[in-house]
Amino acid sequence: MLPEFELFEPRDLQEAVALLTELGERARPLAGGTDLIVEMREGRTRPGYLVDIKGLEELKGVTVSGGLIVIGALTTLRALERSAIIREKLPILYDAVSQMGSVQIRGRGTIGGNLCNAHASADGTAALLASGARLRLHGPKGSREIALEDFFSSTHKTVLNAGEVLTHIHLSIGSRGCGGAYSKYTVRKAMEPALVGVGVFLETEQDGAVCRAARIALATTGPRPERAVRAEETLRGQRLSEELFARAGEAAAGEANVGSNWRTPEDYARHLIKVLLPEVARRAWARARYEGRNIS
Amino acid sequence: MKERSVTLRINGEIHVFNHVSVRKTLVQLIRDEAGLTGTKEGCGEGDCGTCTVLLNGQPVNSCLVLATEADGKEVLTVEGLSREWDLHPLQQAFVEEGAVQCGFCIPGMLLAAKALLDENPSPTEAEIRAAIAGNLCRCTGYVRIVQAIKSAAVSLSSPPLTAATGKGPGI
Amino acid sequence: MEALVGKPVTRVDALEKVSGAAVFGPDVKLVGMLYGKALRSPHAHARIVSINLDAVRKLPGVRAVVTGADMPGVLGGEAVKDMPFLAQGKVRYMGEPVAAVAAEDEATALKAIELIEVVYDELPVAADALAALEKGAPLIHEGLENYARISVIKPVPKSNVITVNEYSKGDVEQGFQESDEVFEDEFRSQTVHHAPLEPHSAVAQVDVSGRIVVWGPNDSPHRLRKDLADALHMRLDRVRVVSTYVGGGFGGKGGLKAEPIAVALALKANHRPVKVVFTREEVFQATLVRHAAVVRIKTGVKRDGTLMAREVKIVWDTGAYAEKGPTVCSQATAAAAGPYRVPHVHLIGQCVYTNKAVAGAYRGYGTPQLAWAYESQMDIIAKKLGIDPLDLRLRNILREGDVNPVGHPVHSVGVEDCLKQVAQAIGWQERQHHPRVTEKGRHVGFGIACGTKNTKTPSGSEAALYLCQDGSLTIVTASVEVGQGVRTILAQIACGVLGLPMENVSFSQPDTDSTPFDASTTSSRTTFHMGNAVKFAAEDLKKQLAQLAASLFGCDVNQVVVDGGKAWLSEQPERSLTYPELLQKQYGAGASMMGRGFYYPKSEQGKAFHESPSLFWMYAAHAVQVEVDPKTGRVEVTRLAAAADTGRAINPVNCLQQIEGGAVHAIGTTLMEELIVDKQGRMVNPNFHDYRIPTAMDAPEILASLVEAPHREGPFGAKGMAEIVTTSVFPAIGNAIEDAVGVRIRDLPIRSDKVWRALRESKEK
Repeated sequence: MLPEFELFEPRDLQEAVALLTELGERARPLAGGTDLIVEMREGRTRPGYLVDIKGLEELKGVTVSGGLIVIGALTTLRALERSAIIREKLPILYDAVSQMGSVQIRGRGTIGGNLCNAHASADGTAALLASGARLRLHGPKGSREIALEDFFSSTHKTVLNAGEVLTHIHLSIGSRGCGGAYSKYTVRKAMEPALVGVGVFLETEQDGAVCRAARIALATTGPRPERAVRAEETLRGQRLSEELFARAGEAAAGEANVGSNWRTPEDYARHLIKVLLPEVARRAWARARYEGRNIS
Repeated sequence: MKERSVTLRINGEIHVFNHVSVRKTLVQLIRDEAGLTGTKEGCGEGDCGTCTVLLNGQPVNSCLVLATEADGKEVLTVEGLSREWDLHPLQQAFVEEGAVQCGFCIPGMLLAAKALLDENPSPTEAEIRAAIAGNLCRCTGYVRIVQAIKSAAVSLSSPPLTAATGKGPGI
Repeated sequence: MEALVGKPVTRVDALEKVSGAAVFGPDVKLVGMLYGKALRSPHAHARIVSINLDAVRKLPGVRAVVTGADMPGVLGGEAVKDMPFLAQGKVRYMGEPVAAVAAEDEATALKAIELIEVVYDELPVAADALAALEKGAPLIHEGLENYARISVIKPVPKSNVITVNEYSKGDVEQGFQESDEVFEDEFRSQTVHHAPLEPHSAVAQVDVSGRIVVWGPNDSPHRLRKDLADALHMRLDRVRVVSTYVGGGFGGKGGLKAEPIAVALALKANHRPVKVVFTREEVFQATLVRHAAVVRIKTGVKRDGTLMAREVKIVWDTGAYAEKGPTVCSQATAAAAGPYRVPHVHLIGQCVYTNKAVAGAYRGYGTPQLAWAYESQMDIIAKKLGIDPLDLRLRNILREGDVNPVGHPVHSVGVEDCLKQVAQAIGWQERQHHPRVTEKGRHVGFGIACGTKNTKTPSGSEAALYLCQDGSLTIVTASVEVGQGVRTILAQIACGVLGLPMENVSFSQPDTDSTPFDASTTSSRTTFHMGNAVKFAAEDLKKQLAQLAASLFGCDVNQVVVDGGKAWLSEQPERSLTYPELLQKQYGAGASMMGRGFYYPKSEQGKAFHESPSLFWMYAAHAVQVEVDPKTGRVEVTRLAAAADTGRAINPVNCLQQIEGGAVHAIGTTLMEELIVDKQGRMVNPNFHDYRIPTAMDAPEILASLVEAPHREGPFGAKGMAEIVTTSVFPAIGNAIEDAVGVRIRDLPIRSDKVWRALRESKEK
């Protein structure tokens, strides 16, 4: 049995926002429940009110419109895994979601929930961070859009104001020469959050030989999801090569915000970043050069 | 609201429950209210899969679904796999291939397997293992479970000449 | 006659289990049932200053509240009576139950425990065994020498050592003198959990005469009955235990777990049944764990690889209460030198209390931690002497009639064949031709190991068989179906002897009121002990049927043949009568026939529990192929060959099922499992997301085979094997990693960061 709470089931976004605003801090939106219900069971959170937003159909689904991929925040990880749009146009996200949890978890967990829980180890978050995602938030004062990297404030916290709901995630469909990939290191082959995860998104030119821009995101056991900006600088404007990827790996390993914890000692976490990044970058590069064809 | 009535179809039959607390999860509704104890609760946190049921055809950890959410929906539990004395080919295969030891993971495993075969009638071994990755088993090492699912996939795609029956004890 | 023995008969309980009809502990439901919940200590070591129950007693819906103070003088424990049902005076581990409530529903019970106020006075914590051994360490059980205990337990006063057990043969110092090389190594094993999928539970009810009934997934109803009756100072017949199916035990579902809380509440619940179901967190924190162990092993060898002397010193971390810790120490320490001929041996085990979860019976009963040590060291020896690891083992391996390290001649010894079979299956002789590095840059390695385990001796089992007038058979035993297939095996034996088809068999539920005494469903003893009891009972039935036939045929009983469901005069086989016909002819108004069998091995030294040399020894071997990623230190087992000596495989598929499950279980223990406890005694990962057991994607290719070295006293030559199937996996993997990348990890689990670190350090040298 879960701890005591009162349940609300708003029928549309406006009602949801109104409820969350009115109920304030003691209310939590309930999407897939794969994180929230576990937190409640473990006594880590005791919300007095749950606002079940799963009825908000307008927040579900993946579409392409005007050069943008639009993902509804309530789209399940499984739906993303099976979406032809995601597999073809955003394989970095496919990489991330297809390795999360189990079939049962992916069928319930939503990408919005993944982002809003603000765990540094969240695979979906890292993949989207590397992809340059922008978020649409809707609250009592209306809508606003922010970059994903501006979404996280401190440990497990986002910048969502009272009553605000994450509604959509926007990504521009990469132009020619773009490609991204995500991989993580875990102990078991399933059912594991990342010990270390790396997402790399490359924008290349000159037929894939030169890096115009790079976005690198790390999933770690640290406090927040983050971009590895020094590693990105290592790649920007350079001719891509294995050797360059290795240097980027070292840079990322050095700048990552990880400490030692029971899951992994700090030096090992940094080492994993160092060796994982070149592998992921290599795949991203292959996708950038052979864009349009599914490279696994 | 703190409670509400829930009307749902379980294994094809309509059940009406009044005064269902919102704190109850679907696995509790199935086990305690509907009295169908085939579905198990091994962890309550979605890590072990023993509570797997099909909710509107989709495999879910019923320990993470609020009971009230099941209102108006269809649930398939292990009890709904067989018809009278006739076992579902998956159940038959699990028996014949020796996939059952302590049995506690089996109901959830069967439902996860059914969900897989419903969507992918000829899965590879890798696809089978990925489909049941969320169903932990401590006894079998998964060896004969995977074999059984493969065998059931074959039976389902080529119906047998006689119906597999569980009638009678033991064997 | 033995038509069914040796056949891969389908499991008789499989149908119930695939239908969801099988009743496990949490499925038990009784009219008027209350829900019980425990309040647990947040401290690992503290005095209980006060418990305030005023608020909880006033909460509507609460029907019983109980604390340790309600049960003065109640102490339980099979080997040592040191454990109260609810904490008394002090708490000794984080999670120890301090109070409990029974309420009309779960919500009320959850609310109720929050209303109980406990004031603690914290005490210093001894969070690991070596610290608990130090001078000045906090004493966890003062006056431990005063606890009632069985004779093999030898506590050390004014310490945290509940027992020391020692075995000697020859003169180890002399042996080391005569050796060409002496090796000294230390190996450590971590605390792990059985992690059964079914959580622990119990339903208890006290009737109006004060008789206690307990239903639940307990592996040993007669043992539980005795544990409860002894603790409560009651007569055995005033307690009844009924066991359901068990959803995975591996040793963790015996003795006092959820049962004491349910019983404590039931005693105050006005005759209403009380159900207690543990959460997964409670299962991890407050049921049972496996002993962490520090094993120091010193071995002397001749240059040609002959083992001369072996000294093994073990510190067993037994947690806050004894449970089966002391007998793990006494029994496993005797197996610490491995399945080898060693003339000079000294083995000594210390069982040490710590302020952590209780350690006790866990598949292998201490032998996995020992094999990790002796089989890792064998490879160290092999490498130094330049001898192939398989050859070194074969040079010293025990064979039929040899004297084992504790001085007993051994019988039914299949370990040599186990080694040869796994070597063959994995391609041991050809391994030098195998590419050393894969396409992806992973390093390939091969490792081999063997192991042995004893069984608790003596112990007894009794069985009854009811032959009904229509020829159907009911098997009446207290052996519990924990997933090992016991019902199927016993049916095969009974039907095999009587010549009846398996379809005509049903089973009683284990119930101390009606199923006769069985020591326990543990120690891999059931096929042997209860198998014999059932065999004797079937033979008893056959004798009675022969006598009945003789009186009906009017002949001497020696002229009657009973087989295949029929009886006939030996000269007139065509004039046969089936069993139902025999009964009908004599007892036209109806009757049944009861066969009885009791098996209790002859023992040499004493008759008491655990005092005798092991009735049989189990053996197994494993050979693995691993790939190690030198960049990350990640280890993957790609192929695993396993062979176990089962004496005689009553049901070969049953045996293979154990081997397969054991292999994956052991891979979890070796590579991914660890219960992490911090310095304050807090368990950091008591759940299935942070305590990782292998998923279907983590299981390798398993090449399983059986060896049969028949045991003269086992039913049809069978002995046990359920616990030997993990023992040699750990060192086989450790040895394979050393073969692959040249580093040896000495403390389990073999996490990838340890391998990485070892590789880095070896490169720096």
